[in-house]
Amino acid sequence: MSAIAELPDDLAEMVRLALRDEVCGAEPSPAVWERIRERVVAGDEVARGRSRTRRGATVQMVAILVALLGLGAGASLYQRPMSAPRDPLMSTRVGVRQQLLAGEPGEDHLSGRILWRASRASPPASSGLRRGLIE
Amino acid sequence: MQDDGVLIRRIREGDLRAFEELYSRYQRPIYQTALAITHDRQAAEGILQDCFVRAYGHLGRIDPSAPLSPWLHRIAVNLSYNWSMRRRSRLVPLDDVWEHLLAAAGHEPEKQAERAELQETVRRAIDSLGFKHKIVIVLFYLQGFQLSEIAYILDCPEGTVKSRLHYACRRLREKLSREWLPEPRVGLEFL
Repeated sequence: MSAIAELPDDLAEMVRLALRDEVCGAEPSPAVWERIRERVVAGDEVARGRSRTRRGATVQMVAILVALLGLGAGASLYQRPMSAPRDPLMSTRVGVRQQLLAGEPGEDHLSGRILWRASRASPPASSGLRRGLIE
Repeated sequence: MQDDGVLIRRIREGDLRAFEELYSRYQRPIYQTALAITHDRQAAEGILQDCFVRAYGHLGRIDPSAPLSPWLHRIAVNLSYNWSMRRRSRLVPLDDVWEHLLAAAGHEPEKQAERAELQETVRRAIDSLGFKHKIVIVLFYLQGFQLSEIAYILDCPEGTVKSRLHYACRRLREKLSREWLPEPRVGLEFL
């Protein structure tokens, strides 16, 4: 089937003429190109800006991750194991620590407890068991 | 004059002058197609503008060795379709448009008026077709595209284009036989 044969020649010609006559000499205004150019340039800028923003966001994310990892690693290095026995010398103030080093009992003013150094400790007077051992 | 492929490569490298050259090369057929569908100069300019802005954004994906005109028409036809769907509910009757155009043209000699009247009848018949039939008529009779090219533009099989053209022509012939040829012309009827 030849599509062009669907219309008789004179009718086909009339259709062509009618269509061409309507658009003949019709030209878009020069302002159309100006608008296209503006939009294309603006689109480029937007695309570049978007790419810059995306790059910036990636760098920020990486920096935050590195910082978090660093903090985590640092914290784990310095973290005292929960099960480790507490050494009174490590956690008391200077004066009390000196007392303990000298073999005297020191008082932790914050908790009100009397602290002893494990190696040279004298048993508290209140401890019957220890008192008995000394005696 | 540089080949389209060369221009496309230059555009991809950011050469806006090459894009302007491409625009000057294809602005008229795209505008005319849009105008033939919309019958509205402002709308046709809008479609032309959107068509080239979209084309610029997608030039990186096309094959520079393939003909550019069908591809540009494909974009323009899609935009025209969107436009006609948006305007469907508030289309201006063609009579009004035609009266407006005649009034703008001023008084014309009698012969031209007769010719204009005939063409108006044809245009009204074309305009009465649905979008998919009208676009086939415009691309085939106005732009002279091959069936295979129209199939590419409309993104459908070539057989569908043939069928649409067949029905569009049949409807046109029926309409024009009624309106333009009030008395049956035996020669045409039995062709």
